[in-house]
Amino acid sequence: MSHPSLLPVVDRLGIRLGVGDATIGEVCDDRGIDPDFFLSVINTFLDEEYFPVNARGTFTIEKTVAYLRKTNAYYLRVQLPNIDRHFKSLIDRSGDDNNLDMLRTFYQDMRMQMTESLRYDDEVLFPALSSGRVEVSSESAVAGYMEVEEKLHDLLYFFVEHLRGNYDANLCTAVVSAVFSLERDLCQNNRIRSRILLPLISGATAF
Amino acid sequence: MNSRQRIALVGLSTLESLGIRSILRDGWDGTAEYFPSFEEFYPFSEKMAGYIVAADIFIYNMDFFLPRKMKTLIVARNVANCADHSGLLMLSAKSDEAEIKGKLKEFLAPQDDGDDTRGDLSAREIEVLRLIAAGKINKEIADELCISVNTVITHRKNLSSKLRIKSASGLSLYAMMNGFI
Repeated sequence: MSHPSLLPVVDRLGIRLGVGDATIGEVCDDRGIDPDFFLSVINTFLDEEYFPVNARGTFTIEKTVAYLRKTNAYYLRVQLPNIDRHFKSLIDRSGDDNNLDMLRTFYQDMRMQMTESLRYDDEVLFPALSSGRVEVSSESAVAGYMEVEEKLHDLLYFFVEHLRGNYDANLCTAVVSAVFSLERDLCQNNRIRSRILLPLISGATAF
Repeated sequence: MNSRQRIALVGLSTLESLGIRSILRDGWDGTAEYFPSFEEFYPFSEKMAGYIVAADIFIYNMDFFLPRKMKTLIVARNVANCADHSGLLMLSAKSDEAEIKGKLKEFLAPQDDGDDTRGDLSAREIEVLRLIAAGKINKEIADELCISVNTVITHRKNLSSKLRIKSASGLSLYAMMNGFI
């Protein structure tokens, strides 16, 4: 309850709310989730200083790729369409004397880059990792998402400091909240990629 | 970065650390502290004004270093030329002494704080901003303005610091919104 940012993680792992007084072990058993894996993901997500003690034991490539596939699908099916929907409503219901179109163009460029990174994961990176080919570069596994994270930060900044003209305040808050939620999720997930995925990609040296 | 601040040497070899410390002693009276691993460095990270980090440590901890790339110098061992790499400040361990000294000087050069000078861009920074908005990479900007790539990187660092904008496309949008292009 004290970490609402975990709700998307719990959701993408297939755990529905309303778990009653079931323990983590019972919930994981019910969903076929390895509880050690679940706790390590949650801890890495929440705590910047957390380093899985036995990462190579808990995080196999198979489990990590399965988790990242669910994460990517969540971005594509839930979080990005959520921002799209709020952005469209905001522009439809705001005046013409603002710079929202420029912000939406910036967002759409960022969205395209993120979608390309997600596509690369699904079509190149994950199949390569799953088949035991680990020659993919660590840059391709993480760097694109870091750039997207920077752009989400910038988008929030432009909303806060450079939005001009008339706009629907409630819908604007909805867009900013949705962007903030994605930025936070991506930031935490980038930590999982760096701390867990990269060590699994043996021999990856981009420089 | 002023001269009395602390910088961290993370994951470098003993020889690299000794060499960098030796060069830094010439005209810089700050403290360079050595950490063999990221885990040993992390608890002290917020106390450090800058980071000189081995490329492999950088790669495995990009989530930490990329948001702090403006104060990170990456030491790459297996390449001869690190002139331009996505705005990252890089130093090849194979560089000659003059180039190493130049990169370290660039890394330690004072940066604008940003808090009080935001929006107060110098004429040169505005030129760099316009060229970034035109889609030029560091090398092209350096050629056009007849300055070094390191100087372009310093201008970019100052632009990001003053405007609090991290991405090149964000800087382009700022330029567009504020009539610089």
